[in-house]
Amino acid sequence: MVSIDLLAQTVSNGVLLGGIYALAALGLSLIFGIMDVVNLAHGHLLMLGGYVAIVLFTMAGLSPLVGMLAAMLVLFVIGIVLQRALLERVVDEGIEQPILVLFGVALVFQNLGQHFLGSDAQSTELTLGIGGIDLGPVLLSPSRTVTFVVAVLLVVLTWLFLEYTSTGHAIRATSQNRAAARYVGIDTDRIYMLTMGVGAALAGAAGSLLSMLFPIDPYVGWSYLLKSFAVVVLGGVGSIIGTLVGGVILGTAENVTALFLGGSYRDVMTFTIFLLVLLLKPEGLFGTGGGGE
Amino acid sequence: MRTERFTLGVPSSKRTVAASLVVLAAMLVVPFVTTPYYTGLAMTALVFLMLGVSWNLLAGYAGQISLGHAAFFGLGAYVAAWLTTPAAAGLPAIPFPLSHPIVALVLGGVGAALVALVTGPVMFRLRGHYFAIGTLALAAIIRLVLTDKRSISGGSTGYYLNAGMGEIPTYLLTVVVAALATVGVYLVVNSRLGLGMRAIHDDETAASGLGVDPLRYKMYAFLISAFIAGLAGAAYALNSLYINPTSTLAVTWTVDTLVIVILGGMGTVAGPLFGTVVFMVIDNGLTSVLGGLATTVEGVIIILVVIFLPDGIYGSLKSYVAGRNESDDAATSG
Amino acid sequence: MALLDVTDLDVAYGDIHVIWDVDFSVDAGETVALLGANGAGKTTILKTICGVLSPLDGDIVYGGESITEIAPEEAVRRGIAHVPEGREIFADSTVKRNLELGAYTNRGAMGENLERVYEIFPRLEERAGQRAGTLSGGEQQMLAIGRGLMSEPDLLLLDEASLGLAPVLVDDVFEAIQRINEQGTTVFLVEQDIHNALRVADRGYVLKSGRIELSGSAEELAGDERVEASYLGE
Repeated sequence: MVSIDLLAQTVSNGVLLGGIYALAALGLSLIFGIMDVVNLAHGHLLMLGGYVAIVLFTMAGLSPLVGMLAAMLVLFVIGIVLQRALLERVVDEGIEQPILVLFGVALVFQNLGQHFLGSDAQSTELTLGIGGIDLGPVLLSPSRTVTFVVAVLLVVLTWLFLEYTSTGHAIRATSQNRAAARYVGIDTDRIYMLTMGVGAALAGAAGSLLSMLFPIDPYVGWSYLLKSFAVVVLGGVGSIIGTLVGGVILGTAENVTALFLGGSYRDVMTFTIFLLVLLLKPEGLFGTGGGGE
Repeated sequence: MRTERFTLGVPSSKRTVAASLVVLAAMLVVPFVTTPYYTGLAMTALVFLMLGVSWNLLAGYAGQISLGHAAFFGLGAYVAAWLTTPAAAGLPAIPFPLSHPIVALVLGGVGAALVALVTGPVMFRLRGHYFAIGTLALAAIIRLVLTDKRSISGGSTGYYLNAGMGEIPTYLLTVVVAALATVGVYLVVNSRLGLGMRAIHDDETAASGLGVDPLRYKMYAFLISAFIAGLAGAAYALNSLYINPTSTLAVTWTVDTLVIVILGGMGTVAGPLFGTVVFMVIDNGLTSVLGGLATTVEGVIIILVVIFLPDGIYGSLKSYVAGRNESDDAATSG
Repeated sequence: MALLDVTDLDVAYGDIHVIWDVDFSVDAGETVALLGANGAGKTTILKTICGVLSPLDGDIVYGGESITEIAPEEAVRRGIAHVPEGREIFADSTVKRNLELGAYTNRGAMGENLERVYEIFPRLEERAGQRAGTLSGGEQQMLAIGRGLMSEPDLLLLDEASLGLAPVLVDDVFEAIQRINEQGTTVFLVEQDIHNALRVADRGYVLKSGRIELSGSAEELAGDERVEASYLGE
């Protein structure tokens, strides 16, 4: 029998992890909402972000929080390059071509990671002069708490950017009606580039934050892609609140499953939830995105 | 445009039939005139050819991009393993006809098709990107569960088969099965069934308006495709006599399949054949030259071919030849 | 010198040649109508001017500079606003946000321009907080025109502004077009509704099967039987 305390601890850890999942999913959701493309390389971009933090941490001793900023910058550039060099050519060519191109990109990243960084899992460590937050039965560990706060902060900043800046408005206008966006003078090619950049940067941030909690290896890409997509599906495309709630649901469900069925069923649960939501409520629990589209 | 692409792969002349028979005969004599090394390569090529033919039917003709094809391959491999070597999974002895490798091979395909039959109606509630990701998730679930169930899958230690058919008979059996699969798919895509599949590929809404039931045709494509992928997996298991969840269910099988079909040309019968040959050359050449970076080059090939040669090598070659004839005609008439 | 000068324009969609040797000009302050039956190529010409399509051949000169190969977003920056056929509004955004997006390239005078648009279309002010997708067809048309005005254009391109509207609303829209022109904006409108178009226009051109067939002042064209005839049969 699992004690209530242990369950409470498991749930709270799941909620904190969910914040990072939401951050990863937000990038995917943004790209999907605007370009109508599921970024199959999203998990691999996240993996790269994790490695940027890991390399800076192990080689230069930089705090992974600083590493995260570097990862965002690097991934922003990678996102823009991907859009310019590859996606721009296939994004309006139906669904097969973008799927296949992004699949190829994911393979390249995975293989390059494996070749240059090794197959062994690595991680970073967050050293802060603070202890955890003690809530009676539940102890919120410093690294989990800090990563959660940073993740939610980035989600909120992204929301503010979309809601209150003219570039944010242009992004949302483009997602609603690309033709109309061009007629009002929005350079939609630039908006696509920016979206890919921001989406990749968010994935990179999530990867850096995850590296403080779990080891990263070059094969984690597919798993995090499916997790991020599960959150997007749970929360609905284009809903920020939905994405946060979806992240928390997924993080909690995973941790509770691992507690009762063992760690190897963590991902089985994730993918099952994902398939179930996709099938039963394709518009998501909050948003307006459609699985039938 | 689209419909033209589909007719490219149809062998219309007796010459093509003759050429196919020559290739078939050549494949059959490989083990008798070459070394075991080349027989091994030919065996691998046949497994890839079946996977390519299988995925091409579903993705190239019916337009359903599955990223979980490794699941059917792995299931076929495991069904063959369970039937021929039940003791390793703690199963009771399987009576004779079922435990015979030839029967086990066919049942490997049937097993994969059964899983497609059960999951298909559910998966096809998803479309486009969602279907692609859904199949990726489905395959991940199957792999994770089988990896965890060590007692029936052998876990990471693996599963040793005791099929006892010998290398050359297994190879010859695979040649026959691969040929039948290729001809079978050729017949399917040129039948009314294939017409329906292409119709939903081109425009699902319009097709259903014309009375084509999309789900029915997707299911046919899915079942046949899973069956052939299962055959490929079973052949692989019977030949290698050792499998584990990673070696049979990993995403690399899906990747290689995609490379083959995309290289060759999606939606053409000859595409997977061309793709397999080119892939075998590239794969063996690349691995010896590049070692660990072979997958990177494969990824780059997928990207470049999809962007610059969307009809694949075979398709582009065909249009190039057609275009040249056309301009020759124009030159003589003008 | 003309504000917009189009010479020898040829446009094709892929292999299909649709516009042949078209010449016309629009002077600053004018309202000019491009008339023609459905499929004559009117929309194609508008899309070519604002950069959505590239011409095969010919020159488009605006304000003394060639804009033949311009991108649509650049055209807006230069002062050309295109109100497309079928309205193309941002259905999930509010009316006000739609108008603000119209000022994307010219945010400086947003307040003034918003006032001006509300003055021409008071209905939009009443509906400012409403989702644009919930507006009636006529209101959406007003919104599309208003959004075009938000960039404070020198030249307003209107594509079938009255199409599919109830007669009362058609009058409202043409009245608005007249007022917009009176306030100093040059208007180039594409219309199937000959009568109303020639009522507000100073001059007109008649397009048939991708070629200019007739041109003249609004009065001349209004009295010319060939205008009506060009709408019937090939």
